[in-house]
Amino acid sequence: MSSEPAIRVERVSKKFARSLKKAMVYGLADIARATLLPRQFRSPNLEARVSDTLGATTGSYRTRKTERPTPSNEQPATSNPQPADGLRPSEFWAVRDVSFEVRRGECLGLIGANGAGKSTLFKILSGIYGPTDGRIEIRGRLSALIEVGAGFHAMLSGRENIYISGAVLGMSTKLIEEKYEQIVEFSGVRDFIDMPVKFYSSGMHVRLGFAVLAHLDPEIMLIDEILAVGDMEFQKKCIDRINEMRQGQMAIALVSHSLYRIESLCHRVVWLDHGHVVMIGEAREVIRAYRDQQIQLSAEPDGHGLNARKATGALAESPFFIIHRAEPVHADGRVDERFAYGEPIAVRISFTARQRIERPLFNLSFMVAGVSVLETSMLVDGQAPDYVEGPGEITSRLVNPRLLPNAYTVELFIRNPEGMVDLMDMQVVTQFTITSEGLDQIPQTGPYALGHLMHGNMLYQPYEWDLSRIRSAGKDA
Amino acid sequence: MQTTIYDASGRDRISLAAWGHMLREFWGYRELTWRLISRNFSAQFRQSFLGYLWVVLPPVATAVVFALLRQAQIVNVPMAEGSMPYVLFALMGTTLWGFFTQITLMTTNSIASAGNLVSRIYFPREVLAVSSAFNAVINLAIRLAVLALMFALVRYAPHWQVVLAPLLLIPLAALGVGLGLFFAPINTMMHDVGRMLEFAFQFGLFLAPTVYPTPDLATATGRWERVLFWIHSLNPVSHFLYAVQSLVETGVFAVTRGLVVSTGLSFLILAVGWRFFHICEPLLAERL
Repeated sequence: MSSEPAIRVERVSKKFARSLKKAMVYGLADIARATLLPRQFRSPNLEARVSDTLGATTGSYRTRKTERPTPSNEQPATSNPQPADGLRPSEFWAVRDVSFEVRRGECLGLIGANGAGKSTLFKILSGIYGPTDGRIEIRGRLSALIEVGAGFHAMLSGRENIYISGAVLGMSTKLIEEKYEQIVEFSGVRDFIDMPVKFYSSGMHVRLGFAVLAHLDPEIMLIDEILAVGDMEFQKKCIDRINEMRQGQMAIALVSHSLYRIESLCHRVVWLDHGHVVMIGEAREVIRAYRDQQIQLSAEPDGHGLNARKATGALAESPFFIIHRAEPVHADGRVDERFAYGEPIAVRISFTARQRIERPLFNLSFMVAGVSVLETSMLVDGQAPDYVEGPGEITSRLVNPRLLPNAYTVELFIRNPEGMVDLMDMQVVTQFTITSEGLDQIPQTGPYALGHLMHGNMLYQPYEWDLSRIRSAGKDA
Repeated sequence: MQTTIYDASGRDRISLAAWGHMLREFWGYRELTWRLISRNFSAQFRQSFLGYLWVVLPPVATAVVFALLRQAQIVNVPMAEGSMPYVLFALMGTTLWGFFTQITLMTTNSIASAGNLVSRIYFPREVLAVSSAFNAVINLAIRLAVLALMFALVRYAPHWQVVLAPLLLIPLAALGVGLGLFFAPINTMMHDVGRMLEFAFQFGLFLAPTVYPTPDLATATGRWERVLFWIHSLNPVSHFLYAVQSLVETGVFAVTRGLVVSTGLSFLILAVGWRFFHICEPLLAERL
């Protein structure tokens, strides 16, 4: 029973037009196609459809009963071939060849950058858009929490709008009447319930809207990033409500940009990128891979002009020093910008001293997004070369580093022995990333482990709790 | 447990089974339809002093202006012997014509003007079309009350058989909704359609038996009178107007060939329009 999928998505694709005028023309063409062509020739993705005339089509109506065979479509389902790229000018794939399932009692997360196709996919699942290709099967009553305050009319009072919004979302009048009190209570806008919604603050508007959504009782629920509303207290209410729903046999699909939320609520995760599925799997694994890729991306843009400066032969220059190279070096001597968590990290700096300089103090800062996480500094430890003159090389090694996965930049400055005078100003000299590889050394059994390790914190420090004295405070000691 | 399937091949064009589905779906969403009707109705004039006066003003103004022009002998509208006073004739004509155009236009624009409701939530879009159409019916009811008031003011008593007139308004409404359902999907993608219809209806007022009676073919003197006669006769709306006028003036429910054909045509257009709308429904949200 619980193994039966509530949502089955098979090779679904959806395309859109970029230009308004083209969209108009294509829309009319699609109407003509829908009314004039027999079904098997009709998909807007015509080329693919013709090569697939005997393809799997088993009735596209929103049928209310499980078994309602549609005449003339009794051929056995054959697997669709890879849809051809039937794009008309200015069209693009918003969702491309996506397949997954959501079972009863399961919560599936969708992650990906903006424009990855998450919301489009939800709209296809809820029946708002028809797919360009592929097939979707929904077993059970589905509610999509995509729009807060659906159907609200600004002129009408909160009370009237509860009834309208409820009806739009598929609640019967009887059900709304039953839940009316709870909805008002949940929303916390009781004092304003007879005021026109147009005079509500945006927060009140959203809360009333969500209160209606929260009292739906579907078998399948789609939630699209609408939880990021309201104050802390209200957010907590929303999360509690979702957790409550999650306990039952409900199938939930959730879109969120908050990896914390996905990690704590979802069992499995689909990662979408530009309409394609990059990865589907156990939540922890997918989030980890996604976060790794994000770190990679944030490291790549060459914001510090490093490459340009490298090309000129000098990374940094001052009247005293020329810095030629700065490289992240692995324990085995390999130069590579990617390190696993916990792997020893060294930064090697090649320079030329333009004159004889006594006891220069080198200082390296390891930065994340402009914040210094740690420094290796001769200003602190007091070590220094006796003197430098001409070409030289100096390496700073992090012993047993506990820097968490992220993209790091390294900034260098050099001071005189008293630490008062800059022999070289602070300059970004190199960058490296730490990936989630090796993160398993850290025990991760808590609900937000990955979220914190890969998102919230910069350093990991081994620690322990002393829980031995809790019992003594208990009542049955 | 209900199972819903969406695929790329769209909806059946011909199968009869789909009608059952369409009707069931429509019935299943009757509560929402009713909610939207009452929402539109009660929100319509909340922030306005004159309120429902705005509903009755256009036909009354048109009729009064024409009565004035005729009284001043600037336009010459010959009324047949035994017909109702001209001002009533004109008010009735513009009221009924106004009902037809409004129900068509409101249905046509129902999807394009629904905004987020369509692009964010699924429900059968017929609900929007029908609730818009019903608001035109409410407007008609208000206008008919004013028409009745006008009859009383002019002290012209229609035959009691006029109570049968709503029977004639049913096919007229069907015609309007049918046309609206047909144009709504096209209008969703190409907003020209709504404007074009509005434009056509404005002029149509003068090419239908609304502010002047249809010229009599037997006594027609000029070629252009005959042209006008045919323009009137080929317009299905005219035949409903004739029938209502006949009920008011003579108390006879005149079942003419024109009325029968128009009624049949109206229901046919409703059926075709609805089916067309239903087929186009999955294509609408993304092009809104």
